[in-house]
Amino acid sequence: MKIDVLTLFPDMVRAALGESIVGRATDAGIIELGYYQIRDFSENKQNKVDDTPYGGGPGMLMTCQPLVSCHRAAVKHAENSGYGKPYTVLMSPRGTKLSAEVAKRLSRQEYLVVVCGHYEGVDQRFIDSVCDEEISIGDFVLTGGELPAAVLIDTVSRFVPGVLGSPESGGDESFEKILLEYPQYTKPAEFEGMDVPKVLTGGNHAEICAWRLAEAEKITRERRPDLYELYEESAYSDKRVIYFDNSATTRQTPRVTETVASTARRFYGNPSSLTRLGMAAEKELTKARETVAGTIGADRSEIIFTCSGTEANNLAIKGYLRANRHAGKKVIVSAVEHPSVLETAKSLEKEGYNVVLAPVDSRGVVDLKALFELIDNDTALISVMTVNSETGAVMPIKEIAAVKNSVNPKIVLHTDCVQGYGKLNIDVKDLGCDMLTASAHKIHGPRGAGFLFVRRGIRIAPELAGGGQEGGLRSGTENLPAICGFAAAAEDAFGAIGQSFENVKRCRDLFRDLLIEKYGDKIHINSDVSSLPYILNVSFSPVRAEVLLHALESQNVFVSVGSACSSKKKSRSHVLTAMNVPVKIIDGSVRFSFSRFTTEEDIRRGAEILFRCVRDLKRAVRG
Amino acid sequence: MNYVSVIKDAPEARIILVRIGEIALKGLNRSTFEKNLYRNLREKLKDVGAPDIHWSQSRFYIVPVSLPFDYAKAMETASRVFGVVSTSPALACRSDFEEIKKAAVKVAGEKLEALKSGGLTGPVRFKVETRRGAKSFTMTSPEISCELGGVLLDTYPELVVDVNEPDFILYCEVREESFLYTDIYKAKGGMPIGSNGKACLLLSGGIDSPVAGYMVAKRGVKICAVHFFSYPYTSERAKEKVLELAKIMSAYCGEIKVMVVPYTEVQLAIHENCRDELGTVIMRRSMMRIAESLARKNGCAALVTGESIGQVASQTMQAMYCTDAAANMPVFRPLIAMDKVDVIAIAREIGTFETSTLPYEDCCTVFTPKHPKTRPSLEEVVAEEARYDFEKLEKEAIEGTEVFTCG
Repeated sequence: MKIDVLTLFPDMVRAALGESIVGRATDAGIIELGYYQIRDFSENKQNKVDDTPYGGGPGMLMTCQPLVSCHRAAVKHAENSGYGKPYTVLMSPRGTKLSAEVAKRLSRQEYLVVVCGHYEGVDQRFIDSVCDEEISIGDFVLTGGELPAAVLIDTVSRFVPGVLGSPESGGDESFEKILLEYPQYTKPAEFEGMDVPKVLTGGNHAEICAWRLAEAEKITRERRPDLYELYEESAYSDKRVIYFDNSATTRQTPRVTETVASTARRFYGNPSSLTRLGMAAEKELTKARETVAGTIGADRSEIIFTCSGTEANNLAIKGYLRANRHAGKKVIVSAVEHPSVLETAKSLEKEGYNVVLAPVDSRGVVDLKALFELIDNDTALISVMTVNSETGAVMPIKEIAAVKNSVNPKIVLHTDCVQGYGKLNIDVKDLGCDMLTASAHKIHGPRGAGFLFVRRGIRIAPELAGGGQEGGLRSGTENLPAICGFAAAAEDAFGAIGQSFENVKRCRDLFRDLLIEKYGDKIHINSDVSSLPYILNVSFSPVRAEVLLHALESQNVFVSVGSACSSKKKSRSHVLTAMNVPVKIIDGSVRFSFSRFTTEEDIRRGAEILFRCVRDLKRAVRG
Repeated sequence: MNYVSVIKDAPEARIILVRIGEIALKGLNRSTFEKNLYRNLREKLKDVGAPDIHWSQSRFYIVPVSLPFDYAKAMETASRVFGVVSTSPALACRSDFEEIKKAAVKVAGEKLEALKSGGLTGPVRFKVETRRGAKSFTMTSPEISCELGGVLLDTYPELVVDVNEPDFILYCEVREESFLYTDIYKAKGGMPIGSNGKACLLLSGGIDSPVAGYMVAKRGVKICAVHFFSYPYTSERAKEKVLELAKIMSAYCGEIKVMVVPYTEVQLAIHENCRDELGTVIMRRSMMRIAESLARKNGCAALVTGESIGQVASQTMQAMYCTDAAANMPVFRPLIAMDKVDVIAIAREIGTFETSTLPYEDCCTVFTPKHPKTRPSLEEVVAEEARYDFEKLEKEAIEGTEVFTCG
């Protein structure tokens, strides 16, 4: 690799790089270092290289001419020895911050020119016309670019093959690349009463490795939580989490986190405020509203932001009935709804409503025929979820709409779409629902944001009295950061919806196949083949689900169960119960829920760990 | 011990009187008990402005070193220290009758205000009670009471004397310095922690064991705890819950060392090798052996459990006989004859009830026999236990013990 340094003080750089490892590399011809004195190229009589800045200000700037001439000379010289176009870097405090990544990237250049700035800076025209990149070694100012140039060249050369005994770029697959270094000791074994840790002198290589890893983890966790996070996620960390609990909540994407944070920082005005800060915030709110409305084919005026799916479900059911007392006294909800629908509906019984549960078949899908028989002229509202949260069963919302329209088109249909939103293509006109609930945190958005779609023309009453936000239907200052995060998450989810679906389906099918291959018909898969592939509900009875959950958790695999098996309180999944799944099977049922970030490798590793846990737990089951 | 002035150079000082109970009756050991209580009080009050604690004639005086001082919090803290019988916020002054009169007017005035703002109207009945510890003081107790009563009647026209049913009593204690107060708040009593050795509590996470630990600690016993942890059959949260319970208990019992024993392997071995209906008793015996070993290592002289006769199958007299036979140190069961409701009342009082009833304990019934034997005989239990050598697994469990310090 050839590196030319353009400087006013060549000896300063030469002194730093002339010895030790870089010095040896130059001697061996692995790195060819050239030094150019910029002053030598000045066409000025006094060899002047600097002048005062236009517009005034302190200090002097380096002028274009000597720099450009010097650069040309260096390149020409290099051309003669067969080098091509150089990559030119200016050392400057306002440049890209130097990191191992940057150094590695630069080390791939065949010919690098490093320009050392000096004085107050360099004429911008030189930078624009000659330099490819500006690089800084940190947020502080030095007297000149020479020391930074030496630092840059030193670290870049470590990545050049042959400079180090074993090049740094080679060891990428080990934890050392992410973690900070563990403490090191050399002879003697005891120094002024301080001993070397016993494990290092013990000679057991495995123990030494384990000790070093533990120490490196500890020191990284304490000093650089950011690096430790990267480490936890990296493929070669056994701390890596396999998260199969995405229907409970998902991990925010960096884009969402950044959107939430930057909205909080930049748009701190209250959208209701009359000032321009308020207006800027309101504009963001409108943009977010348009984004999510667009994802379901709705108009932005039909979207009410809430702070959760639960709130949206409450608002839909109670809000509609309170605003339409004469619409009828019967409310039909499916037997497998989320508690935020079931409990809300039940609470209406006190107000004189007749709440009826629509049964499901063995697949967990609402029985259309039975539902049809339940609908009568007194029916005001039907609420059926789009996708069941425990089994992934996809409900025939479109058919339900048709059925109720055949009886009475005035009956309002609400669908809790929390588990389907961002996973299925949804068009509210096509679906035929009048109200629809969605939530941000199930699609890698933030907690604290949801929305209710209410078709134009449907009247609902607010749950909260107050400042009249959200068209008077949801008072309370809007949670703008979360709402904007929601919009960003929705954009990403719908942007890749088909591809995500295919990926998740492939993962689910693989997981299913692995389970069947291993256990045959000894396990019971509660999710029907027609279910949304994002959820797979499986029973490992007689192994208890909660015990399996904890065993998996100890191996960093995270799942959830519909039933807690407390010895005192029996709380069995109402969904599986409604599907007529036997109690024994229910008590062993675990929900695996995937996301578009789930990989085949996660599935294979997860399955492997699962098989081990199930095997171990079978030691203690009641026959 | 020489008396040290609580008012120093000031004309008066607001302090807290701390009375100690039965330890004042101790003979030659008294100072040991008192020193112990002094240390405990000082330790607990460290976070409440670290006041000075004076100690004289079986009394403690909490004297703030800087203002503002949270008297209410200090009283509450002090009344949770075992060995303290009652506390009173008092005004201290020199034992000079003019000073005493001034202080009495102030204290009675404040009480009067408090009673009025509490809704009392019309004439307020009161009496004065005097104790004269400093016999060198020239007036007798009845003379002091009488004089002070007169001064108060002159100052506050709404006051009337009623020695039978007073609305408040003005207490006047004349010692090296004098103390005037109107209220006495009852504290927990008991004996200072550490004055009666150390015992090891089997802490399950249920309602009973924290109460048992509390009761033994109240008798001056320092407590450490053993918890048996059967991950993944019980969750990480069950462990957190136990540590939280220990933390709540530590407000009374002082810092508690909790030893968490990884118990899954022993439990599995019992499950696989022993008859189902004897499983629980065999498990209790194994727990006793492990607890005893840990207790000895920690200098404990006894084990403490929350058992009560007949509460569950493993708490019948026969089952407890079998359990005790596995231990070679006394097993204290302070709840042995108590009803559940009474235990719950104490659990609520000391603040462990809410945590105890969180639903994480023994979340799985895998190891609970369907039909446990309520009247096992020791012979059959010992015979059944001999089918497997538990010693090795128990030793491993002891070695794997994780230690936490709560409080």
